Amino acid sequence: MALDDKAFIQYSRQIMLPEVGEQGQQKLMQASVAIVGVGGLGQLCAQYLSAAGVGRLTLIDDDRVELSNLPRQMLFGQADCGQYKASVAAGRLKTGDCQVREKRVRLDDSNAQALLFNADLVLDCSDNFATRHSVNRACVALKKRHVVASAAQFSGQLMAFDLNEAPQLGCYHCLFPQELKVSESCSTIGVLGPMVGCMASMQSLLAIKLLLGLPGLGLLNRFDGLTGEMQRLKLRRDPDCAVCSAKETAVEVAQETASGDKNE
Amino acid sequence: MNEISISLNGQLIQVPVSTSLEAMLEAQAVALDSIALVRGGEVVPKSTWSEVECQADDVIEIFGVVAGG
Repeated sequence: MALDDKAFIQYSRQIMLPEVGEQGQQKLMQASVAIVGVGGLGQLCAQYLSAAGVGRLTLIDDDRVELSNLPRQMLFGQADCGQYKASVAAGRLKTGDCQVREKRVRLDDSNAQALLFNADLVLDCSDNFATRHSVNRACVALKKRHVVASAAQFSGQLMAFDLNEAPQLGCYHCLFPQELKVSESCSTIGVLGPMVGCMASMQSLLAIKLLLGLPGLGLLNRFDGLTGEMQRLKLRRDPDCAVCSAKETAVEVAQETASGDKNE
Repeated sequence: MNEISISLNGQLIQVPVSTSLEAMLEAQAVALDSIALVRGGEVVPKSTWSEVECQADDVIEIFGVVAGG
């Protein structure tokens, strides 16, 4: 199927890149991406991916827009306060070629696999460690490619996992086991809009590269927004990882542990 | 006792030969339950810290998870 004239003009600056071309643009248009969290990271990734011509987006978030979100979540305005983020975002982005579905639910172990089942690629744009582990467990179980970004204060982290293409990199749990203590999130400590925007932009770029089949796996990128330094570190699988290393029983145990934590 | 010199987050420190990563971190009063560790630019999975020994001139960095978004 060839691109029509309008699509060819609309996406011409992308198609011009030898790494994209008409074939790459078609790959994007056929792709389905799930975005977990439509906050600072997710609302920008959703804009970039829909504008790039990605065929289908699923936006998953049960939060509503708050006044304090606006400095970094520029898809939303004051009039949207109190509305579901997934709905406002879907409404704004649906006007283009992209099919946008909204899921006004909180992703957890009980619904993650159903929510992510149809995605070619999953973007973890969530704002807390528990959700990040639920996303990871589902991506491991479903063998989904998975791009993770995060930001707090002046620190950002970006990485991608793919157990099919690169099992030696392991999963999110290999790097940050769920027992790890985490003190911060954007709601409890400060962050600047562009800091989250930097990470969301890099996450969107990495997502598009993976959809095109370009290299992008293998590294944990750590960005320091104060010094402008970017560190590129090699990921490595934990042979004893409770989530990705072993048998299904290990995944189940990890899931039980996680749901146990939640009930405490 | 023989000691070797390693770099931990940019600071040079001395540790006895055959010190595990875990023992080194404990000696530096680092909270093991809140960090990831990179040696020579590569992640060292936490489950192996008690077995992997520090080597002379290791460049080790530790950092916490960033979970916000």
